[in-house]
Amino acid sequence: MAAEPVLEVRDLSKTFPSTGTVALSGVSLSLSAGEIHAVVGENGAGKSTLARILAGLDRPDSGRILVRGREVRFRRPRDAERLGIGMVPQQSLLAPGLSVAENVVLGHEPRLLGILLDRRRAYYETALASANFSFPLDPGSRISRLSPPERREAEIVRALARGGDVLILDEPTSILTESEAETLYGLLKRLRDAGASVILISHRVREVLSAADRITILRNGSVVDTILPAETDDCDLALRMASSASCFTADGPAESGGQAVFRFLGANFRDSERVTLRDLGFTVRRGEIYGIAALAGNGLGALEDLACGERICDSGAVELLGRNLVDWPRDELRASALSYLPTDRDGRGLCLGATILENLAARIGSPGDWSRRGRAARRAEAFRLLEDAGGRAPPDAPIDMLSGGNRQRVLCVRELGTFTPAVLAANPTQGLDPRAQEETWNRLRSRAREGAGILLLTSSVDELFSVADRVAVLYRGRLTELGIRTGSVTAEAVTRLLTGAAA
Amino acid sequence: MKPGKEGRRPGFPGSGTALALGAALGAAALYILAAAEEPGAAFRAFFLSPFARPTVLANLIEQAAAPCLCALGTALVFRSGDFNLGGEGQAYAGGALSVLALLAAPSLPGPAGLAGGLAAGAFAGAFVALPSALSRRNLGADVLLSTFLVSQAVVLVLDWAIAGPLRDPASNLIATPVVEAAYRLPRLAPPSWLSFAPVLAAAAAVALDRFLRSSRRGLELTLFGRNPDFAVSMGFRVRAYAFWPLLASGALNGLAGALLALGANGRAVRGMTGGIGWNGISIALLAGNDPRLILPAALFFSWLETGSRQASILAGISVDVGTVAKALVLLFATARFLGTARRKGTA
Amino acid sequence: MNPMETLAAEALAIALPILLAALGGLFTEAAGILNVALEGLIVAGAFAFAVAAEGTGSLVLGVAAALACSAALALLAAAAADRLSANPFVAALAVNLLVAGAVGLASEHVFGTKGVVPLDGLLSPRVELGFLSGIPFLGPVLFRQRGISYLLAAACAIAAVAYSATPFGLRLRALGMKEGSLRIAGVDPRAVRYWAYAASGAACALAGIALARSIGAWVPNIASGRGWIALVVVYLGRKRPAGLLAAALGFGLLFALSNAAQSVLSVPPELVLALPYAATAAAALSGGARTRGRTDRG
Repeated sequence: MAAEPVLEVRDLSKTFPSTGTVALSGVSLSLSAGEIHAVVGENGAGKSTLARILAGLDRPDSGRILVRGREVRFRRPRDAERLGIGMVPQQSLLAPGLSVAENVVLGHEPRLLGILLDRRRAYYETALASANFSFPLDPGSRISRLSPPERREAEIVRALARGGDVLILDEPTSILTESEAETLYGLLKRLRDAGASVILISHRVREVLSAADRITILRNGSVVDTILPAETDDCDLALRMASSASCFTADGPAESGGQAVFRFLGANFRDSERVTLRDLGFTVRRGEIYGIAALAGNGLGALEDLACGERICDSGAVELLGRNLVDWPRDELRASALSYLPTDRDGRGLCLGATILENLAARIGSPGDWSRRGRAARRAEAFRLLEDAGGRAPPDAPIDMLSGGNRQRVLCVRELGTFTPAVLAANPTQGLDPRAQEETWNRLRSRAREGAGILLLTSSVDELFSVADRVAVLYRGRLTELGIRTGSVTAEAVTRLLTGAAA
Repeated sequence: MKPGKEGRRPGFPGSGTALALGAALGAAALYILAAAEEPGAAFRAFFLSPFARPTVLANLIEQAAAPCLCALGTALVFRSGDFNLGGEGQAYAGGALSVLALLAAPSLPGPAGLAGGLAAGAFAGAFVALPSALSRRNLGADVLLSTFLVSQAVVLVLDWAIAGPLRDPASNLIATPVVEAAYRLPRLAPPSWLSFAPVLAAAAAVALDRFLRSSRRGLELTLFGRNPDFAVSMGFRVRAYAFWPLLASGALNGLAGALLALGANGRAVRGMTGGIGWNGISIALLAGNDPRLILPAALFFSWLETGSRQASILAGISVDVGTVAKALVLLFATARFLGTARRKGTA
Repeated sequence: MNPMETLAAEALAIALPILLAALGGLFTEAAGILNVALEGLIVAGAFAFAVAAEGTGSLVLGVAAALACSAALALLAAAAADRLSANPFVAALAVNLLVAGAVGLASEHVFGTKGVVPLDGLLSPRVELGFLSGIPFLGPVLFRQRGISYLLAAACAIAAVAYSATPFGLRLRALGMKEGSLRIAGVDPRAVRYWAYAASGAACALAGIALARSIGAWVPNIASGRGWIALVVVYLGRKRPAGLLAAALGFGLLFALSNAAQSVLSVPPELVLALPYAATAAAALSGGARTRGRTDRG
């Protein structure tokens, strides 16, 4: 490590007055030149706040920021940028309808005659910057036409286009598949070797261990420790991040052979994204968790839409409990047969802007009883269910106030709180911290023990192996069944199938 | 911009309402101070004279009924996630058809004729809203634009029809012939025009409130308005929720028009709606789309109108003061303030 | 001039104010705001111009007053939305109503009437552009317009360039697509939004001035629905300046035709006026015009 840190923070504290939450308290860390410094922690540990402060998007209440030994104060993103600090936020902040070049020069537009936008220079500057990082990006192509990794590249170019050498990435791989993530980390290492310094914010323990030079662990807004990857392993690191959690263990496979819950009979479906599901045939039975894994772009989203009845297959059939899914009235289907945890949690699973109670009442309670007493009973039930789930929020608060993990808890309470014979869970733990993840898995497991047939669609091999009884892999719209999860089905084998190496 | 989708804003609920009322009354008072020859008399005429005589007060209450119905329809459509901007044409059509139907059926018993006329009005309003409702449900077309445009076309066609083929040649007014006296709204307290219309409006408000707050369908409709994708995934009957609120709103607007036509006028007069559709929107917004507050808000608007009319008769103040006051209500009705002006820009 | 040329020239003269107001609507629309106040902003601009130009005898002061008045009203709606978190759509509706009331009040005090005020000195004369006006067909159509029309055309061109080829236009579009893209680039999205409103008000003011100068009078409700039609033009034109031009010209032709039909066939004026609304309603009902852009996910 170099002697003088490029970027150093001392005793940084930040409280959000509107909610009273302490995001950071007394955080110190230092970033050396040419290192990848990971900051890990659970959801809500303060990682994103730290990143926003370092990028000048938020201001700390107290504490000092030093850049190359000089104390600085960031009032706006441009202040950070002048000192060579660029940020890639968790959620893409690229204007989708503009070109890469237009996004890169936004706010610093090169001008022609003093008032016009100089498109050629914008194109040239962007081409030059991406060539510096050897990105094969076309500055003229529209953001909405780029793949997720290409969008990440465009954001890195934007962050460093004006000569920056400190890059802050907030959960950069959350929208990437595992292989895309590896490509990104390769790229970060190249940047580092070229002399740049990187702060990598993540909760993906394994990725961090392989990519980072040093790791700072945040918990509840405070630094727990700063360590080298060699001093820890994934289980240990997960434990130190967690405020109270144990490293997960999987249950044994449940008994199978019951009644068919989901049944795909030679289903073919052509998705608008041009992924074609071909001749899907499989059966999910009562009492089991049937897991299907796939990387993005292989048809998992289309499969989710087919299984929940949102879309209808072009040929073949999808049956639920022996009845063609098309013949199920949608309200009856969701009232008594199918519980559904969608991938698009906030868009499809919950109704933002409505209260927690309203989100719960969209499902729970007897549909007919809307008298005063019925409503009071439902309210009491909502209280009880929230408490059971460890939630402390009042039922009348808008659901928007909850964090991602707590929103998923509400969703789980609604969808898994009452028994239905069929459960469809699509990426149920994406973006959750280990504790919320384990809770969700346990709920799925206990529903399966009670006799529900669960179809789990996931893009995480970890999840597949943690909860599925039988596993299958979807690659380019074709399904490969691997049968009951045993010692013979290894993670390596699944990964090979996912990436098409074994096809 | 989607009306139902915005999250809850911080700030004191109702602070916008207070600001709206304050700005409206303040502006009216300032104008009177600046422009009136005798400010004292003008003040009394504007603010107090509506309450001075029972007849004026009764008329004030009667005049709140029709806009109240329009506002209830607006609130219902708002809850389902859209704006019905076609209140004007829907009410106009309701008024015209109720009169036409009763002119064509001269020999019914009075109450049956009146009920039939009101039903015809509601039908006509719903009919004008029908294309927008159908295209919203089947094509996802934009209600905001389509309701407004259809309504504008309907207004112009009715303006022509009432001035032309439907006009009563014997009258000085550009209006249709007068319906049978038995078909007109019964006057409960002559000489005022007070009828059962305010009771009808109040009953509609209570019914809508019960529907939205304590019925399964009401909750589903509200959730659909906030997030249609969610409603689809929960198995709600989204096609119905994309269709019926707009149609019901059209019917309420049509009913309001019929009440106007069968009340004081007894006929369809050219331009009879006089901005009732827009007033309905303002009232709904002032009441925060809460059916319980819509009748009081409608009474407030009626008071502003009566006050500005009285001030123009008694003190020579322009009636446009009332328009400005209503505009300020609309401007601030959806505001939230007191310490929350600077929102955090985090989405 | 033969009837075809007359018709085309009139269509162009009708289309230009609508196009400029529509470009004003495009500024806010691109920034993600549905601006239904165009109608009121046109009326306010026309009225402020009539009052100031008539009162001072100076066209320049009249234009300045119109720009200031419409931009201030647009900014009022913007401020209500931004500072007080009012619903921007409702605030814009309120501006329309406010203009209707306030113009009525002011007209009574300034002109002593709420009716038509002839302003003969403000009528813009027809200007023939030298040899250009001699070109067959194009000459009579394009180059024998009123003076104000040439200025309008220039203003439209400037607005279109500002939208598609300046940093300001780029920021507007970025704001509408993803607000955060501006914030991370160090640009204050609120400032951009205010500028969008102000630009929208200025464009409408110029359109209002053009209306007043082309008839040489102040007429209550001088916009008579043009602001709403301009809004529709924004959507029919698919939010591209060239598309807006085509849609505005289409409306200009429709109005010109209906004027001709009115005088030749004695069709009632109400039915003629209903035609553009009905035609646009058909487009809106068939899903052709939308007030909401599709949101890009990811």
